[in-house]
Amino acid sequence: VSPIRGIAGLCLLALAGWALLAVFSPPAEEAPPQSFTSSWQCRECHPAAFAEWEGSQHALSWTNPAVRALSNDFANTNCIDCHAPRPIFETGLAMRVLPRSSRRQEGVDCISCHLLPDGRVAGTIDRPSAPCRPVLRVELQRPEYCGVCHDQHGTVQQWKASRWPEAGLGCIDCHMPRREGDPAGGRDHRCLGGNDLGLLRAAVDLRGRREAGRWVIEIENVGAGHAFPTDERSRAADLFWRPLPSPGAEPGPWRHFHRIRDPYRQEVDLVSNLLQAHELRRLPLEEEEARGAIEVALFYLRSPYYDDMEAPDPLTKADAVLVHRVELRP
Amino acid sequence: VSRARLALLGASLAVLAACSQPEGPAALTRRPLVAERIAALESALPPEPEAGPVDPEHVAGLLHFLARARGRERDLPLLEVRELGDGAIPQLQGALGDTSRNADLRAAAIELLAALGTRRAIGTLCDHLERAPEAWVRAHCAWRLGEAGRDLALPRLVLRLNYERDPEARFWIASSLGAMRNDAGLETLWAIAQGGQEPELAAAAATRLEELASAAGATDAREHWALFASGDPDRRLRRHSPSTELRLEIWRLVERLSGAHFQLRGVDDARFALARLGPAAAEVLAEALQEEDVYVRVHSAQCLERMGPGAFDAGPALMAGLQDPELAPAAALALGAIGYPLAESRLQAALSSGTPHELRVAAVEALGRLRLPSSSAALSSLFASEEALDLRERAAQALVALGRGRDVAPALIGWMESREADRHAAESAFARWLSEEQSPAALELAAAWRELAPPPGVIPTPAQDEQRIARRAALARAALPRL
Repeated sequence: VSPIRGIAGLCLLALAGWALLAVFSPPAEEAPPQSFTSSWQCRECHPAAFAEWEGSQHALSWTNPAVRALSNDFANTNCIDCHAPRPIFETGLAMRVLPRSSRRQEGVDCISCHLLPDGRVAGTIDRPSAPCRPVLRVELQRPEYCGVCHDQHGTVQQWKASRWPEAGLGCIDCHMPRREGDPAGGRDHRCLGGNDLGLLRAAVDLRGRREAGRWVIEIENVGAGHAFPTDERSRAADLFWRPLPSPGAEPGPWRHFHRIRDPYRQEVDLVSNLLQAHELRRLPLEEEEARGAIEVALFYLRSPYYDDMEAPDPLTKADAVLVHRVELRP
Repeated sequence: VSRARLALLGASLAVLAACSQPEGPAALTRRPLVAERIAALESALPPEPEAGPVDPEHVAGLLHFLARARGRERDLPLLEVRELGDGAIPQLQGALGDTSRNADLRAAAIELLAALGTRRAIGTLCDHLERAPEAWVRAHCAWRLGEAGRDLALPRLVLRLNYERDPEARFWIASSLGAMRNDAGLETLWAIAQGGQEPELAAAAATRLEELASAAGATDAREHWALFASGDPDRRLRRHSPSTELRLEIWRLVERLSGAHFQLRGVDDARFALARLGPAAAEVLAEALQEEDVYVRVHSAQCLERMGPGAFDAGPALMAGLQDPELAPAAALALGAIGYPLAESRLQAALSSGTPHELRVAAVEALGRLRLPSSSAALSSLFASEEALDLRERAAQALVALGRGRDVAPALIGWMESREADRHAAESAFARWLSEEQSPAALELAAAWRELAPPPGVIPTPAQDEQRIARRAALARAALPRL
């Protein structure tokens, strides 16, 4: 027998052995069912995802002081549905979530998104032998999954009306990117959004054009997969301008000239003017003083009201975030 | 086939049947109750006459005459508009919504619509109550809706309490609710009466509160408020007997709770209104606990929970709801909130380890709300157990409610320092216990505790919030041996 034939024979034998083992070996034993009463049970096996979630807005959805103030410490029990929801898989896609009684301080947690009605856990692989018995569920990646809460203010509808679905981009592509871009690394569970300056800056572009001796400010939604801002009616974006100070001089106060916002229900005199996905809005600056060198700023606000609404000052508002600033010189 | 073989086959089947899993409890029968009730009430409503053609000049004449009429002159146009019927509505609505017209004319349009008083006319007034940009128009609509006295407007008036910000419009909404024996506006009237910013309105609210108390059968406004807040257990207040139209509107609100609607906005509105529509709504909500749609059942229980003691009569229906696995946690919470003592043994039974976790937690909270001393032992045992953390936390909060705060205070401090625990709930529970302690050390700690509160109107950041709780925990830990 030639050595080559011998080696080939051995390889064939090994392959046949492997095939036999694969066919006749007993299936991996299923882990015993567990009762999940807290997301802290997930921490041991999923430390990275847990740590990301623990610092996220989802984890803060019950304890965040701003939420507690707006909901009157959840005396407004309407807020509980989305701020401490029962598992989404219990109610299903395109259905409203229901509020839960237990572990409310964990907010929107591992159990809310991953627990299945049969006690298993929805994930990206089937592995019955793992302690949480994960089952592959593709729904986790669908915008409609996030939409059970986030479409309450039309965010998923805004996405559907945009060009992003055609481009194959959904919620998780921006808000839960793969860790360090590695497909094997899992997805980032911080679920960044309006709380992240990088995402805010990527969402819109701010620039100015000179037309007939005046500035026309252009703001364009170039990167948000939905309107800017979106989701909460408390969010707003304000545009300000002021003359560009000469070197060494103190700048004057910011002067407000445009607000982007979806009003609260009781604000019957206001109209929603969210900057929809891909929308370009052109805003001529009419003031005489604005004909020269100016700077223009876009501030993003997590709550819409200033102390003085007649003379809004973003610098005295704790939650105002400067997203873009451009200097325009004739 | 031989008989012997058939017998063998039969015996085999019998053995198989005997060895199979025993049947579970019979599934609860549910049906589309809401749709049935709405259909029945709609068919019971007498049809409104069709809106016939009217002479536009006649309507315009009524409007102009009423706008300048005085004294008994006013009766005539109010009578004539009823003779015209719903055909006059489009023109009255046009005049009401036309901001270029003078205010007297628009006010006359509101008054004529109220005098007409048909379902369509009331609906038109409600539309303007909700959407008119001028506060005085909204206030006028609210006032005239109260004068018209058609209780089908109650749900929309109640809902405006949630959104209206203008003090005068709020006053008239609350006043008109009271005129129709709905007490949801009492709190608003008290707030206006005690607010010092608008003395005339405050005086009017105080007067109105006394009028409503007298009409309701209470000795004065304070007693009226106390009876309302306690759910009027002895039925001392005069109750409104709902019209068929109001019962239909209530069932329509219940329908808005259903899973067929995705947007929570409508659900939130329905929950707000239902929880404030009084005994008529409580009766409907108790019945809706048998609806086949789980959203209707759960949210109906939530509305009863929000009603509190005023929904006491729903106790038996909520007790039945404890057998429904999907409804049981919400039913338990509602039983606690309405103060239904007969639920105690069932709730204690639900604490056992074989019960679903969600229901166990709800049962603990409900027992804390009931505040029955006889629950202490079961709650103490749960608190001291090795059960899941949130069960023990809720047991501790319930024990604080039962006056046993001293037993759980060390644990509460520990939980204020723990990342895993509900630090806010532990902080609140400790503060509640501290507020009931009168020892010098407790008073001293309470003063130091208050100093750490954020200034009024300032919302702390999450980090500041954590810092405050940690500092309070350190204060409490240091003071604990002296408490």
